[in-house]
Amino acid sequence: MFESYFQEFQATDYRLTVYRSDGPTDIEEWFDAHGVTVEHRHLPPGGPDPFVVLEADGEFVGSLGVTALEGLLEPPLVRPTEREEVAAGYSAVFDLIDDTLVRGMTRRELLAVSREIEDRAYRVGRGTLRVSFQTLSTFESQADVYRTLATETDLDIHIYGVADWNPPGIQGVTYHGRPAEGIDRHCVLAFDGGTDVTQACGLLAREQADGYDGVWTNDPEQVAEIATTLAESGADK
Amino acid sequence: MVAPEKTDRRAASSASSRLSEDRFYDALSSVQRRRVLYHLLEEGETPIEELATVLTGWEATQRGTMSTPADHTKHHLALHHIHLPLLAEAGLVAWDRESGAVTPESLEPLVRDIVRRSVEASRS
Repeated sequence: MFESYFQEFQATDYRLTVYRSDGPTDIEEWFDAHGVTVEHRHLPPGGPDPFVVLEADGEFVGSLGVTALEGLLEPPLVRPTEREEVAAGYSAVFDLIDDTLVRGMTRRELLAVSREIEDRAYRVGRGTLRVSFQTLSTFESQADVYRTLATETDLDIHIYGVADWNPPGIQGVTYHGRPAEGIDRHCVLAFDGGTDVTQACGLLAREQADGYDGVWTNDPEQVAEIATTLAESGADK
Repeated sequence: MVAPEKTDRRAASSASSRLSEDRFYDALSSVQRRRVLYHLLEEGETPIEELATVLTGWEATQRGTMSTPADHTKHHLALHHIHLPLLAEAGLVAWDRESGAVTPESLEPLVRDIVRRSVEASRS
């Protein structure tokens, strides 16, 4: 399940370094929350404003001021439509956010990214949010979060997971307790953005021996594909 | 040009004699070289590769756009063929071409101050 997605996402080895004179920048926390490792180097106080250097497989691909990068990452993410014509560095930044396969994420990191998707769904307040929790008992600790999400918004929420626990009935939440085989290895979230596709976002993570391999995407088409796969996997028999 | 003997350099290392040398002014006559020297004086030994990255990033923050691998290569080449030879010739840095390590020479407070102030002045 989801094999093709994981293969699609490139396994480029990105390295991100922030050059700065003061304490950690917000951008470092942002990347950290997305499971992307950021290194840092020290700059003297009279030097340049903080900037980020991006390398792919050991080669320099671009550098950009932290302020400019933060502007790029401000949701909704507006990416240039003609991707081919964008400087390699810009594409790399978007690839880094969109397509990077992050290996060995901890459950905690996974939850941090999940929270971001749930927050965005909450703020938009409408649309469809599909979430796979591996097993429904995993959902237990999150039930209160989803009760709030469902009762305070017009979201249509679908929860997938092997039915090993009896979840509480919540208006706006539909459970799919007999998902297709293989779903119990995956933690998946897909939010379609409601009426605004630029708010679409998704997370696809697969449990491995050493943690989770995860992919975070803001690409509406990829989010839609992930959502469709999830919807089909949970089609009640 | 033949590098001066270490003892000669030490003899000439007082600020006043340095200030009478044309090559000192030649070395400091470019903003890129002043940035390199400032970075070295503050951070200590730095590989040429990283100096190129600092110059490229510095430029990117001023332009507000992404700098490209071509920009990085341009800075690296300029460091290798122009900036570091001039700084080394003026006795301001030591550059190990083999390892790529660049180290600041021990400089008089007055000279350090000039470098720092000139870089800070070009920030505003």
